[in-house]
Amino acid sequence: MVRPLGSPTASAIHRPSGSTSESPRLLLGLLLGLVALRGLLWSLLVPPWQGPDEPKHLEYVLLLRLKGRPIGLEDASPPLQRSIIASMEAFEFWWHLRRPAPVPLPADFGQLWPSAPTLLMRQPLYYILSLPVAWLTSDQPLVSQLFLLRLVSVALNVLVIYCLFRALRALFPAEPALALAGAGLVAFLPQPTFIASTYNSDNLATLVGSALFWTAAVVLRHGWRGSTVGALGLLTLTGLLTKRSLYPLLLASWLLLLVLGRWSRARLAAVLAGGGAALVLGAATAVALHRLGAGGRQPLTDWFLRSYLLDLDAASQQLSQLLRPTVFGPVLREQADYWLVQQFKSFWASWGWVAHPLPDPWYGALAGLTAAGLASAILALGWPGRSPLDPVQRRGILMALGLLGANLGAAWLFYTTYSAAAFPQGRYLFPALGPFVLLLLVGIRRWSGPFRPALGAGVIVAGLLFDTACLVGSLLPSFYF
Amino acid sequence: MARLTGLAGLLFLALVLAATWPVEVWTTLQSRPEQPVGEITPDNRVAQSFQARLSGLSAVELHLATYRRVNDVTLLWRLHRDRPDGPLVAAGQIAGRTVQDNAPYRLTFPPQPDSTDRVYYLVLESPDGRPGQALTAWASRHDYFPRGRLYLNGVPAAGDLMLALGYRTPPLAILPTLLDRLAAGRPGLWGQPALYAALLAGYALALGLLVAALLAWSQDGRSAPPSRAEKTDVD
Repeated sequence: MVRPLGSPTASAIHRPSGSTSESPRLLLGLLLGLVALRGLLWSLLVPPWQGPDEPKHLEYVLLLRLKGRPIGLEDASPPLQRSIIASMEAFEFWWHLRRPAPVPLPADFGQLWPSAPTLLMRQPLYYILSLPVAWLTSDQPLVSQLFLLRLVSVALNVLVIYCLFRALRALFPAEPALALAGAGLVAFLPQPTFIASTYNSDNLATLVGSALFWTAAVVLRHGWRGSTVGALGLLTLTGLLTKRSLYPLLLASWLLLLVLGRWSRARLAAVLAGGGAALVLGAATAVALHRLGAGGRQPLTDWFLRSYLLDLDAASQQLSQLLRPTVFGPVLREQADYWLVQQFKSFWASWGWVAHPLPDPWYGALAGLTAAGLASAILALGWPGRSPLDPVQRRGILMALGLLGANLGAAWLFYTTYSAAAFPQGRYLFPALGPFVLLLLVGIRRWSGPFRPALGAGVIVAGLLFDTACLVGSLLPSFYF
Repeated sequence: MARLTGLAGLLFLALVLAATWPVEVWTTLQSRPEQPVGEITPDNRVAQSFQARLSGLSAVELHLATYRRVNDVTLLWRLHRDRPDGPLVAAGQIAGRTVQDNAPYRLTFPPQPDSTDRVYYLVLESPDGRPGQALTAWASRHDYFPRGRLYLNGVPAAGDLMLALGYRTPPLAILPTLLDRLAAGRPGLWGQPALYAALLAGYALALGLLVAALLAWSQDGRSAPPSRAEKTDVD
């Protein structure tokens, strides 16, 4: 599948006049600074422990610091859990959840969350990245450590916004306003900001997903190169070490890019070299992990492989359940509505442990806008209207649809064996924020024509107003009034 | 430039107005309709205490139910301050015929300027209610709401009424309360309300800067000559 390089593209022909690339750079710098400040602010506005699973994430990193080696289920420490639970009580955890506080307080996480007491078997990379902060803050009170560790997520979110800007810029090089609008829109999405201001490994997963999308956009625009193969390899390795919900996205990225990416015989050697380098890097990491773990009770590679095999086993069980309609069909039909509604709500805004949603009419309006945007993006593929798409952009849209579908499917698959009360939360879709925002913007572009600065600015200001309304009208009242 | 300065001035004026103009703020205290409190009759008097969290308390919203019938009764409500028999804040009556089944019902009264952290008692009575002809209100089964209590005939009961509170107050008046609550119980630097005031001010300023830069950018985009070429190689 070799496609010619260097042919003129529609975007090169249909350049909106007067849009500069210098301004977006300045604006991007301003936006990234604002994202950092905003993350810091939100990390302090969200009460301690109100990030989903935040106590368990903190337990993981504190144990990692304490033990100085890879940790597993057997490392759970009831005294540490009790001190976290006491802090949760002191900071009105149950009041914020609008639930009765247990009397007496649970003795450990097992009593508090019998069905999901721990994350200690999860992939370690997010916690390893947090270790320097954990070391530096070890003499601080527990809540101070939590606030400072939340800043790791804030920093990752700045990188997310940068990756999304670069991805959209690669796909629409002649429309910097579109790239800036996309970055600005995601920067002001309330729920991603909420999650990014809490201590949660989803934030690294979101960064990996966004970086994948950027790399994919570069492959679509410029074809396979050694550097992009290497980058994809590195991201795959990072993703494997970050969160299992990323695996389908990683697989989908490779498959879609193999089909949609541009190949060049001239670069074949470089591509193979990049692939080789990625393999060597993977092997070196495996050896390093093995050596790192050898001093502990359990070599890290053993733990790693076992963990993945267990995951694969669980995933295959869930898949087989899905494929048996007589057993699962009615349940799925019953749950699908509930899952879809809850996932949609918690994608846009639902604070705390999904305990504080927005008023229902807000979601109605958001559903209308989302449906219109996505439908328009699909329409743009066949009938681009006033906004022609070049072949790369068409493939970008197909790629975005594929990645979004893979991410959505993965989130649902992992929940098929859970209880009816549990549902896949919106945050599991955040690794596909890039594809989502691309589709929305292409949908707008279908009707508006190519993005000009005024339209880009309008999209960002609309996002900013929505976000401010969510902050002032919902988040602050939910937690503090 | 003059246009931008004018716009910035207008924006600032709008912000000042928005901060000082009284707005309605709603907070939900309890939102689980798990059980009705039973038919409200002379033998079943319902009361619910709650703590207001802001100044300017001006409305209470509860969820009434009719048992899918028309109830030709009158529901009396009273709002007392501090104690069940404390100073009367407001009172009114609801005609049973006008009540929709399983729908929110809003009780309004003049804003209470000193309502922050004050305890109130909402009392519901129906002198002409009787079995088969009475209204009810939705409540939770458990006590989800620790800063309040449900009473049936003066006796504490499990659960809480479904309740939301409305405040009419300028956002600026809420700010000191918000800053205090943000800092409450937090250690060291995080326990200083000034930290949150500085961060909020810095954020508002940065937002203003971004909006101004976006405005300038969109103006620049309109006025720039078509010959300014685009850089296309971005990877």
